[in-house]
This record gives sequence, C-alpha cells and structure tokens, in this order.
Amino acid sequence: MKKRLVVLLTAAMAACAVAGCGSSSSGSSGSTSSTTAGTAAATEAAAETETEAAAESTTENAEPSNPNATKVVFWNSWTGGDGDTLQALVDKFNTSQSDVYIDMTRTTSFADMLQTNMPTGEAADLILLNSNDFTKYSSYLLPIDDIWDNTSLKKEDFSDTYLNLCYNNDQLYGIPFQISTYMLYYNKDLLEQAGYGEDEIPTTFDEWTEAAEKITALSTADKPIYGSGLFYCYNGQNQAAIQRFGTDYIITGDEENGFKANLLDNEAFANAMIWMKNLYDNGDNPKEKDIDSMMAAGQIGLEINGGWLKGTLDASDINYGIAKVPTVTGDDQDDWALGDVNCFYITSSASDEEKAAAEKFIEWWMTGEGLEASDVTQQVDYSGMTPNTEWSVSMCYLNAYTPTVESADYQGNQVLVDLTPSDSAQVQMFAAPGTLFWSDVATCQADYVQDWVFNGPTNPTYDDVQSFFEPYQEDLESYISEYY
Amino acid sequence: MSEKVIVNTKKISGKKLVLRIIVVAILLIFAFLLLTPLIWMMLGAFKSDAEVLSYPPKFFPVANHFADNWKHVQSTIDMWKLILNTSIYAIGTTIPAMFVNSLAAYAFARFNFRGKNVIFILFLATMMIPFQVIMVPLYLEVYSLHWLNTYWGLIIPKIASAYWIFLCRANFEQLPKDLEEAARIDGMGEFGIYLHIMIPLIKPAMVTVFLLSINNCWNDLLWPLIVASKTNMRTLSNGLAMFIGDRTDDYSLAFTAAAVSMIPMLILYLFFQKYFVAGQATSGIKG
Amino acid sequence: MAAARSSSRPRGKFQKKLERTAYLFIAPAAILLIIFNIIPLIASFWVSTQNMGVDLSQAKFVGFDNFIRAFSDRRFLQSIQISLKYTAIEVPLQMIIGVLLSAMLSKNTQFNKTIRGIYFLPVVCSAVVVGVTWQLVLHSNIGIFTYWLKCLGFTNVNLLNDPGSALYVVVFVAIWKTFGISTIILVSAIQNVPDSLYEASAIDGAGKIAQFFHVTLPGIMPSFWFLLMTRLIGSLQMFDIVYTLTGGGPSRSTTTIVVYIYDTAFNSMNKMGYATAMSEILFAFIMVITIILYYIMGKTSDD
Repeated sequence: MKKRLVVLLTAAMAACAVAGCGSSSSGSSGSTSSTTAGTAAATEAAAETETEAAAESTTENAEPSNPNATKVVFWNSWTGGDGDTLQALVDKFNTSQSDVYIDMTRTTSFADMLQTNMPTGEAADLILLNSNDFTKYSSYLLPIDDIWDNTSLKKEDFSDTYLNLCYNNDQLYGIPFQISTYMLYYNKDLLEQAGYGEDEIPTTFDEWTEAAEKITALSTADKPIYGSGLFYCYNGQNQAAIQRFGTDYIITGDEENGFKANLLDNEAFANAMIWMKNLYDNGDNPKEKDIDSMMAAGQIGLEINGGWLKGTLDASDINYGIAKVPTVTGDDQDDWALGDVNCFYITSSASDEEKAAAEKFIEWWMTGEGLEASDVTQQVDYSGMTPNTEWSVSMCYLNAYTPTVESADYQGNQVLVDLTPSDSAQVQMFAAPGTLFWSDVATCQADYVQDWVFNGPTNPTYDDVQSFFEPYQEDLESYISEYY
Repeated sequence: MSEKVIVNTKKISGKKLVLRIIVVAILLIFAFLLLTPLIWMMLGAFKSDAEVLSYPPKFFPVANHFADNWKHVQSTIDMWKLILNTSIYAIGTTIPAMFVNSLAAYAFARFNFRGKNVIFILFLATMMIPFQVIMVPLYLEVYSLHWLNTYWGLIIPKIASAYWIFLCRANFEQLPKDLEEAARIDGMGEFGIYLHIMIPLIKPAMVTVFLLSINNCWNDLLWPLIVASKTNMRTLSNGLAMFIGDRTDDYSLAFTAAAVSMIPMLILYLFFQKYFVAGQATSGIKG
Repeated sequence: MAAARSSSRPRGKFQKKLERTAYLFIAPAAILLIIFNIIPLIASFWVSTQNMGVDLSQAKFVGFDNFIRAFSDRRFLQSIQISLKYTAIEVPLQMIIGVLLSAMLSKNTQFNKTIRGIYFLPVVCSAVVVGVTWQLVLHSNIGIFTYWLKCLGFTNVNLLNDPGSALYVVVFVAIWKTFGISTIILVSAIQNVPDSLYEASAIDGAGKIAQFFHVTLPGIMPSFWFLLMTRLIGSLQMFDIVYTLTGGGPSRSTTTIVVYIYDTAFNSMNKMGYATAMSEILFAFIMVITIILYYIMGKTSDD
C-alpha cells in the first residue's frame, strides 16, 4: 500500500519535472535529437526575454554564424555580479563581426581547470588572470609583443604602472583588462534608519564599529540585520581592511634584501585583527560566507568589496552607495590603492591563427563599439562607449588604457575619479608584484583571519595577536624559503 | 500500513503495542529526515528566486516557475551536453566492464590454471589501493596517452574492477558443476559456453553490475574532475560542481540543476530497486 | 587445486588448452588493472620524490623531502586531526544506527520493505546533489530546516557557517547518505541467521532483547566487521561530501586529509609530488588500521 504510494508520489514528481521541462521549452526538448538543441533553446530564450537583461540571452551554447570563423576559447572566473555584463559584451563581439568567435566559459573552478589542462595544451586560448599569478604559469603563456604591430593598439596608450606588471624577462605577456579596487558599499536606508544623515558615512574604523552596532539593532525576528559585513573567508576583502589599517604586504622586502613575513611586531596588523575580532564577538558581523547575497537582500549595512558586487546590487532593489574604504584616522591614503590588476593572457594552447584572433578581440575590447544602453541591467547610458569604458564605468573598475581614462564618460563617474590613486601609487595587495609565493600567501590569508576571528581569544590585546599568529608567521617564512 | 499494524496488534499485549509504536515512530522519523530535503530541493526547481528568498521559507511552490528556471540553467550550463557526456561515460564504461570483468570472473570460477589463487589475490589487492594514491600518476599517465579531456581517458581506466570480478565470480561458482562439460560434448567453443550458457544464468548479477556501475559513473566526482575538466567534456557531477560550487546563492540555478541531474538515477532506482539493494546486500555477506 | 590438475585427467593436452583459454579470459582485465592500477601505484613512489608543479617538465628530484615536509606541515597535521575526529564520530554512529534500524526492519513486511527502499534512496544520489541539497536545506536564510529549527525555539541557527558545528553537519550528511547501505547489509545478515537458533533461545526463555544480544549480534558479526572496515576506510578517505558541502571551510574546520591532498595537487597550490607523498602516508596509515582490525576480527571470531 504504502510502497505503491511512495512510488506513485516520486514518479509523479519526476513526471511533473519532465513534463514541466517539455511544456516550458518544447522547442528545445523537441529538437534534442538534432545537434542544434542548444542554439534553439538559446534563441528561444532570447526571443522570449527581449525585455529582460542580456544575461538571460547568453549564447554560450550557440555556434558561430560563420562556420569558418576562428574560434577562440576564453576562460575566466568572472562568475560574480559583473559576469553577465562580460557575457553580454562577448556576445556583442560575436555578433558584430563574423571572422572570430569567442567561446567563453566562466567558472568557479578556474584554477583546477588551468592546472589540469595547461600542460597538455588543452587549456583555453585566452584567459583572464591576476597579474600577480602569471609568473607561475609563464611557461604556458605566449609573449604578445607583436600585438603592437598586429593591431592598432599602441604601447604608449597604456599606463606604465600597470603595463609593467605584464612583463617577464622583457617580454610582454598580458594586456591589462581591469584594475579592481576595493570600495565601501553601504546600505543608505539602513544607515538612515540608524539615525545617520545622508552624508554621514563612516570614514574611520571606529565609526564603522559604532555604525555597525546601531544598524545591527534594527534586526527583527524574521530578518536578522548586521551592521558590518566582513566575510572572513574572503582574502581580498580582509586584506583591503588590513591594508587600510596602515600595514604593508603580508610579506615585505624584496629578493635582494631578503623577504620578511609581516604578521608579528606589526601594530597596524594587530589593530586590524582586534577590530575584526571585536565586530564578530559583538554580534555585529555575521559568519556567513555569502555576504553579497545578504547585502543584496538588505541585511548588511557596510561591506567592503570590489566592482563585481555592484552588478549584484544593481540587479537587487536595495538603495546603496559607494565610498572609499575607511582608514584609522579618516585621512585618505592616496599613495596606496587597494586591489589588483587582471590581464588578458594568451596561452600556448593557441595556434598562430587563434592568437591573432584573440589579439583582435583584445583590440576590439579597447577600441570597438560596446553595448547599447538597453542591453544591460545598469541604468547607465552606454551609447558611444568602447567595451573597455563600459566595463570600467558600469563596475567602477579603474583603467590602464589612457583613451578610456580620458573619456568624458570615465571622468564623469564620481566614484572612479575619487578612487583614482596618485600617479605613483601601486594597485597592489598581499605581496609585492612578481613574487613567486604570491598565490600561496594570498590563499593562506583567509585561513588565518578565519582562525583568529572564530577561534581566537575574546577581548584580544596586542599580545594575544602576537602569540596567536606566531605559527602563521612561521608558515609564511616557510613559503619564502621554499621559493627564494 | 495502518490496517496491517492494527490487525497484528489485536493479538499482542499492550506493552508490545507501545514498543511497536515506538519502533514505527523511529522508522518514520528517519524516513522523514531522508525524504524532506530531497523533496524540498526538487520542489525548489519550481519556485522563482523571489519565492525562494521570501521569509518564512515555504515548502510548496505557489506557481510553476520551472520553465524560467530551466532557461536560466540552460543559459549558464549546457545541461544537455553534461547529460550526454555523463551518459557516454556511464554506458561506455559499464558495457565493456560487464564483459571484461565477467569474463575474468568466469575464468577464476570455472577453470583451473597455474597461479590462479595468486593472481586472484593480486586482483583483489587492487581494491585496497586508495584512489588518491594513484590519482596524480594516473593523471600523468592519461596525459601522456593524450587522453585528457577525451572519452577514452574517462572510460578506459575505469573498466576493469576487482569488485565486479569478485561479485561475478561468486555467482559463477554457485552454478551447478558439469554445465560446461555437457556443452563441450555438444561441440561448443569455450567463449560460446561463456556467452550463451553462463552469462544468461547469472543474469541477476549482471543486471546488478550494470545498474551499480551506471550509478557509480553517474555520481563519480573525483575522476572526471581531474581528467575531464574542460567545459565541453564535463560530466553532470563535476559540471555542477564547476558552475554551482559554493555559489549556491544563485538559487534557481542550484535547485533546478541539482533536481534535473538527479532524475535519471531516481527513475532507474524506482524500476530496479531490488537489484540496487541486492548488489549492496550480497557484498556484505560475502565479505 | 594443484591436486585436481595433476590427478586422474588423462587429457593433458585438453587441460593445457583450457589453461590457455583461462589466461586469455583474464587477460583483458589483467592488462587494464596493471596499466591503470599497478603501474600508477609504482609510479606514485616516483612522483612522491619529485617537486612537481604546474610545469611538469620542471619536476626535480627531492628525495624524501616531501615526506619530511608533511610531518612539519601544520595544515596536514590539522587535516589528519579532522579526519580522525570525523571518523571517530561517523563510524560508531553509523554502526549503531545501522544495527538498530536493521533490527527493527529485519522482517519482510510490506511496511519494512518500503522503509528500506526509502532509506536506500540517497545512495543513488550523487555527492554533488547531496551537497547542494544540504547547503540549501541548512542555508542560514532560506533553508527549510533552519527555519523549522528556529520554529522549535533554537536561535542563531547557522550550522554550516559555524566552524564549531560544520564538521558535525558533514558527519550527519555522510550518515544520511549512506546509512541505507549499512542497514540493508545488516538486514540481510540478520535474515541469514538460522531460525533454529532463535527457537533454541526462546526455549531457554530469552526475551526479545536478550535474543538480540545473544543470537542476532553474534550471528551478524562477519557482516558487521566487513561494514566496520569499509566504513572506517571510507571515512578516512572522505572527500566528495566535504568538497560539495563545505569546500573544507569554514576556517578549514572540515578540511579532511583527502580534501587537503586534492587542493594541494590540483587547486591553487599545484604541488603534485607533495600531494602524492601525503596520500602515501594516508595509504600506509589505512593499511596499518586494516591489519590491526583484521587481527582483532580474527581473535573475536575465534572466541
């Protein structure tokens, strides 16, 4: 009796699901036998959601319209709120010409994919990579000095500060794609409810703590609210706060004079740790790992993050603002910008033809014609901008390409202007550019911050920090000795 | 269920009734813990993002949003391609595996030859090797064969399995002696005896091997993660791991993709439950 | 066997032919097992002495450095601790649940069969589906179980994000996924205990519970040991549910040995030689445990 019931129930559920799929996209499920199923589904989706965001009409599964087009496989890890815009731009490139087809995959397992595919020449032709990480992969990357000859791009149009990061042994490997800096996102409504005026945004870390407490008090039983939204498992965001506390890299020094781990005897670092720990202990900061979605749901007052969060927040209905990350004194630190540089790299998996095609895409990215205003979720009028400018302006990413920086659209964006560091400033985090231990150091940072916040002593003092981080200091020293 | 329990209880004392009720209650609690997450997850495939996010969370969907969710999944993941890859991997591994392993098992069960015991124990010993130990060398080996991101690379290393040999051998051994003698007298070749007489006789075991092997491949994560990490070669398991990973904040994507990927195995289980269970149960007794 | 071969059979030639056939029949499986199991096992000793990164051509011999390094690597030692803790909780719980439920389910009534069918259901689900499902079910905002727990009066339910509770969640989910197998194996073991033994003890006046301890338990010992051993080995090699449920976090609190090995080999660290060295340490450890258990098993069944 019961068994039959269960069988019936599950079968009904399964049937429902199958039927739902059949009726919803009869076009696609009907044509599964043909090889164009993906295309059919995608076009159908595109046709039905014309009014919706471009994100819904991605043609990831589609094939190029021109069968002779050079196919460039393009991998990156842009899965955040900015990924949809990137997809829309790539789609735009694919439809705007028929010689080159960009086949893009955005994935959370980017590192594994590179690792397991690079040695075999199976990796993508074109990748986006943190400029600090590229030395690790340099034996599988192609020098692209010929891009100045093959395309209309000119070396002098790129800011030296950033382009220099793309050189290894005097050969150019990358073209700067985005300079992501960390910013303070704040929920305007929550700040207002907590009694703050429109321009009263925390500029010091003490003010942050204070505001966090007031905002957390707005919680209700149904909807917990936290004033502060640091996610400790996220190294970049931790480091942004740590560096604004006035400390240097995790490992300082250089190859000539020797490197030194920088966790101990470092007052600024200790202060940052104590600040983070207290926020957590006071219950003003959650322990969740997806703070972004909580921010988008209106549960977070203050959060530090990069431009990718902007895409997520624009798609939500919360009322937010962007400012600079606080400092200890409230004075700015113009000589030090928080973030990193990501570049286009062409891998040794690319044939000569694919390499040329990838360079053509990079050229288009810098100089071509981007999206129309209606194409993306952001309410910015995009007409007349290059893809590169649109990318910068919509996500508030700084740029290395002078024509973009000098454009009226870029200069008209107050956040970008505010974030622009002084000319001599490096946009840099974790460790000095080009150090071989960079990715190890960046990875382990999230470990010790979490360990400290979750397992460290309550009401910590400077001495607590010293004793707690001693083993981690040793770990870091071992990274140094491993590579140098 | 209710009728039966009541009929039974008429004959038994009050104390036993209480015991029986406690037992049934415990069993039902476990069943509840098992079914609710799965059902809730499948129902989630029908909910819109707003519905998923609304507080308090609801168990049943208000309206059917499966179509939109499915579209969203398709725009992020090429689910059909994942399903195709998984099917090729599962069937491509299972069919040769049934043949290769049962053939070896047959030899071990019905033939006498020098070194039989030593070879069999060596075969069994391969079951002891944890996969992690051979993970990197196997990756390097498949790489040097130029099989990374190919179906060959996925399938061929997975065909031979001491476990299936073990399972089939036990079944062959239970068959009556002299079966093959009669066939030989009829002039049948050795391979013919295996294929036409022996295999049909251990059909239930073969079905079990088939189903468990399909199920293993369908759910395999670590191996495809390593050898088939390219987008167009991903299987369902590592494809979902790649696109969802810890990004479960894209709720409709997570719910729908997970639910859809589960359905084929659920259907298989519903129809062949007995064989799934038999395979696991015998492994315990024989061990 | 040797006796059988050398005995009365006059047809030596025919026997030779049969032998050849037998070798031919095992050949495909043997070749595959050698290429894809034995050779990699031997090769793993070579890999573990290499310093091998992304660029495979730059691998260099470092002797036993990788092994020495493992024992001074705090993260490896921590992952051992976590794996041991996980095993120490998961295996006994799994066994107790398995034994109790199988005792309750041993009769082949329709109700019991249905319940067994349900218990077995997660076994056919992939670890990814299980991981995603439980991530959502226990999600601090949208999770249905989180909400129900709140309704029951628990406050601050955030099981997956709390380093204090995440490992227990992994244990729970692992048991949730596999107790169906344990139960089924033990049910069929119980059903194989001869009825005459029960009858004999009933004549001696033993109650149900006494029967369970004096007849059922000894009767299912071989299956029990088998299960215990496979669960133990499986727990020490825990990977997929952690990988899909927590990714090793929060704060590394669920980074088991194999998760750490995988990360070391294929994720951000790219140290394949070192990863293989660690997996060999794990292998040795598992071998030792298996041998000890085998020894104990032999002793108890002698008694």
